Amino acid sequence: MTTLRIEDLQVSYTVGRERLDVVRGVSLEIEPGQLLAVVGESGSGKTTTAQAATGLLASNGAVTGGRVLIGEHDVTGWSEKRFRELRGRSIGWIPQDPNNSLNPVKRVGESVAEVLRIHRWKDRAARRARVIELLDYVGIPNPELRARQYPHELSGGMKQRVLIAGAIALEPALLIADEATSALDVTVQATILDLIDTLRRDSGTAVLMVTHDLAVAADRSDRLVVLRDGVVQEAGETERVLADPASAYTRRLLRDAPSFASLSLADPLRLNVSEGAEAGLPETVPAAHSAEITAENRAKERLRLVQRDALPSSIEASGDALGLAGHTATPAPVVVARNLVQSFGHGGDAQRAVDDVSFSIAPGSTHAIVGESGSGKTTTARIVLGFQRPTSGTVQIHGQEITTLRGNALRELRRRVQMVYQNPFGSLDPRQSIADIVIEPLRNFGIGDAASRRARAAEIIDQVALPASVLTRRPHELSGGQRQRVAIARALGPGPDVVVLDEAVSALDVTVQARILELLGELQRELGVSYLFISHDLAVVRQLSHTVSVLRGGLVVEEGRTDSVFDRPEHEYTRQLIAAIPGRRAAATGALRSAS
Amino acid sequence: MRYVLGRLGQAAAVLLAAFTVAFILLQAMPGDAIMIKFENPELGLSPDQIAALRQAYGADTPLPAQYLHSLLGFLGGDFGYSIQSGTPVRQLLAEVVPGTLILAALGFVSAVILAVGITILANLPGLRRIADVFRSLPSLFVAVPVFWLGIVLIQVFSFQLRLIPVINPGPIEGLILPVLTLAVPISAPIAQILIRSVDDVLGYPFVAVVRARGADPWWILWRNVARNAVLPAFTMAGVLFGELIGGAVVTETVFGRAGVGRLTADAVTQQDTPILLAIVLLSATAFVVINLVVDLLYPVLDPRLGPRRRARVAAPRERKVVSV
Repeated sequence: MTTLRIEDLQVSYTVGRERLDVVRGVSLEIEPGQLLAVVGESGSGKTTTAQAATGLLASNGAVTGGRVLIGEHDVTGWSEKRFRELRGRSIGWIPQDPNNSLNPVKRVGESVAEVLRIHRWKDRAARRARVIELLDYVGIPNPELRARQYPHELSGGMKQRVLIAGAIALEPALLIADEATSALDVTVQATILDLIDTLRRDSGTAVLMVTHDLAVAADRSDRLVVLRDGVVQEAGETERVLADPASAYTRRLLRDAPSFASLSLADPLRLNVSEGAEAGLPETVPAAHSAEITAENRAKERLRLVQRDALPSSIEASGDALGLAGHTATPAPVVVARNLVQSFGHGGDAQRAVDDVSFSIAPGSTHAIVGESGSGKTTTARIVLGFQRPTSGTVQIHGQEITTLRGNALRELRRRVQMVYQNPFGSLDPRQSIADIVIEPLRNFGIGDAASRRARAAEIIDQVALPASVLTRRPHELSGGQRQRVAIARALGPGPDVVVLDEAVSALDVTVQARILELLGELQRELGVSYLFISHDLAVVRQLSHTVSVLRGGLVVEEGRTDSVFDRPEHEYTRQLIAAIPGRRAAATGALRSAS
Repeated sequence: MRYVLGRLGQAAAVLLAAFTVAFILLQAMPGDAIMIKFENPELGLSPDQIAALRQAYGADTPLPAQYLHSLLGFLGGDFGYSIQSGTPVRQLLAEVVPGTLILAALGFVSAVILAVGITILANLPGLRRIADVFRSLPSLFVAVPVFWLGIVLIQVFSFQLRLIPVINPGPIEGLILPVLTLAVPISAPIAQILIRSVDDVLGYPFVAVVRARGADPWWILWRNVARNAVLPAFTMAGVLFGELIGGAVVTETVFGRAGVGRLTADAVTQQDTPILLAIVLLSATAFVVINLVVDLLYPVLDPRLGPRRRARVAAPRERKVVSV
């Protein structure tokens, strides 16, 4: 029997007096044990479709046509009260962001037990036992202890496991996972997706997965539905859709998805690495000391550390090996960071957020720092930006030491090192016009007069491929991609040597992300600016960067040229990270070959 | 424990500052209680006699010496003597404090009940249509002046409905109207914050999760939203204590009740510095203590603010799990 069947669903929202048709004739069905992925960008109607199936539409939304069948029930037009019986019991729901999805003042055990209490499942003692059993099943070690803890004492991945435990507590036939892994680190994402796979196998649960990430969908789903503007663009067996996409939109999504681009070895943005830098870089340089070292390597490792401590000049030597110090014909690097250490706390409590990180950036090239949450990548960026003084270590920009700068010199540094933030919605002042936003740093640094600043703003806005008409607009009138272009324009305005891109494309839809990455590449070729690219997304890093440092727990576990690190990772952790990139399974089956 | 000690130290510093500022301000005022009492022409005292009186009251000693004298007296529990009546300030306060304490406590409790009531009515699932009426109540309450409300209540309940006698009411009867007068304006900001934070919390993702598990609106409101929404209102309640003191002054005057409020009003007109200084310090102490209690209770209500130790122990273990 089909677990969920949606036929020609139509949903519209009323905003003011206007009616917006968000879902326009979506049909899909899921059999027990199947995973169907609904893929689409923001505004495609994918989440609305899932909400309509459970009667959880926002109060201004309404189903205006079509049918929804859950098991044998035709739930179309059901009252809120009847839906409540189904929710939690027949339909489990896994939310998007585990960090805000558990009641912060409730112990996690109580949160899991809540669904049992709502549906009056057995008595207190039985519920307690069931909670522990569930927590254990979803892979939470020491479940008795964890059940008594509060959400803030758990990591993001564990919280998502707790939420899954709550969703499956009453063994529903259907699970809806709404972007359930988007907020997680890539290795954690992989384990959570594995858990959902296990569930399907163990209990024959059907899963409706709503995601923006085509690569995740490609790896895990049996069937795919691609949505755009509330209309199904493509539907069918996942392998068939990937191998032979029928719609132009699906083909574009496949082309723009960074994980497929890199894996299919489609021409990554051909950035002109200056030849010297390319020649000077060795294949792969394992980090000086890494987190996990095999027994026989440990002795060598210790020896090397001793040597390094004994001979300060060996740091210089290794710098040469990296092509960093820039003898011979190689151009001098723009940024040289050496042995950065940042510790927080005092005495025995001190924790090293950044632990002996070194890297350099050649002119006109991109160095990426990649790592998961807590790896120290953002702290490293803050040191380079001069926002934070490292506990020890040095950062030189064009040979000038910046970690000791104060006053005017520090201000001058800010002109030469600019930044683009992750969230284009929060990083632009909503009350300023775009022209004012771009002009602001120029005015702060006293560059030019009012007229020349206006001219400069118009020039940069043109460079980031925005029409001149946006200059008079305000941020809320622009799309996410356009805003990020404005943020890039603002950073480039004062003519910086280095732009720090902190997860600068992570919040964007994949097609928008692809355009921004192209723009960044073009700007680098035209202006010769260097980028320090901070990201958790290995696929994007692979596309944009020339060199890369892989960070874990503040340590550099591997560094070198991007292609060699990705093609021949030396360190176990790098291999894990690369293996966890979604899209690889699909690539392995060969389904994607013709897509590229 | 170190945190508690630190907070106690801060509290002591605040009290010292309050005492010092009050002392300076009272001294900076033109004229003083001695002049008001004895320079009355009807008494016919000569300037020499007045100077002698000033000396007797210690008003001619240099200010720093007076300051030290008062401070040491306060530390020892001796608040000096009222200039107007000559009674020890301590005795005057002991007479009025219990009455005011009852009024303030009942007023505050009523204010909280009123605020919670309004918030519930504003969020009642069955009352969506008229929820806006309840939502606008707090704004109305804030706008009502205490003295006017007191007079209107007396007019309606005592003179028109004749429910509560104005003259010589029983101890409980006599409290009803003053408590109500005090409670209404104080309930308003609490209700405003409660309504606002209930709205905020209802928008949190975890509420959507509970809803997706089949919970009805009451379940969501009581078992999930309530405790989260109370936190901001709790802070506000501590701050509102200042309002309570101000409200008590007006209420006691309007209803003719003996209390700290009346004592304050009289002392201000007579510039009776020792009484005023003692009242300022008393209020400051109560304010500091209440806010200290609020701060110390916070971690009990919100586990995220609890001692860090447990979280720190948990952190490394998590990392290990993630890496597996």
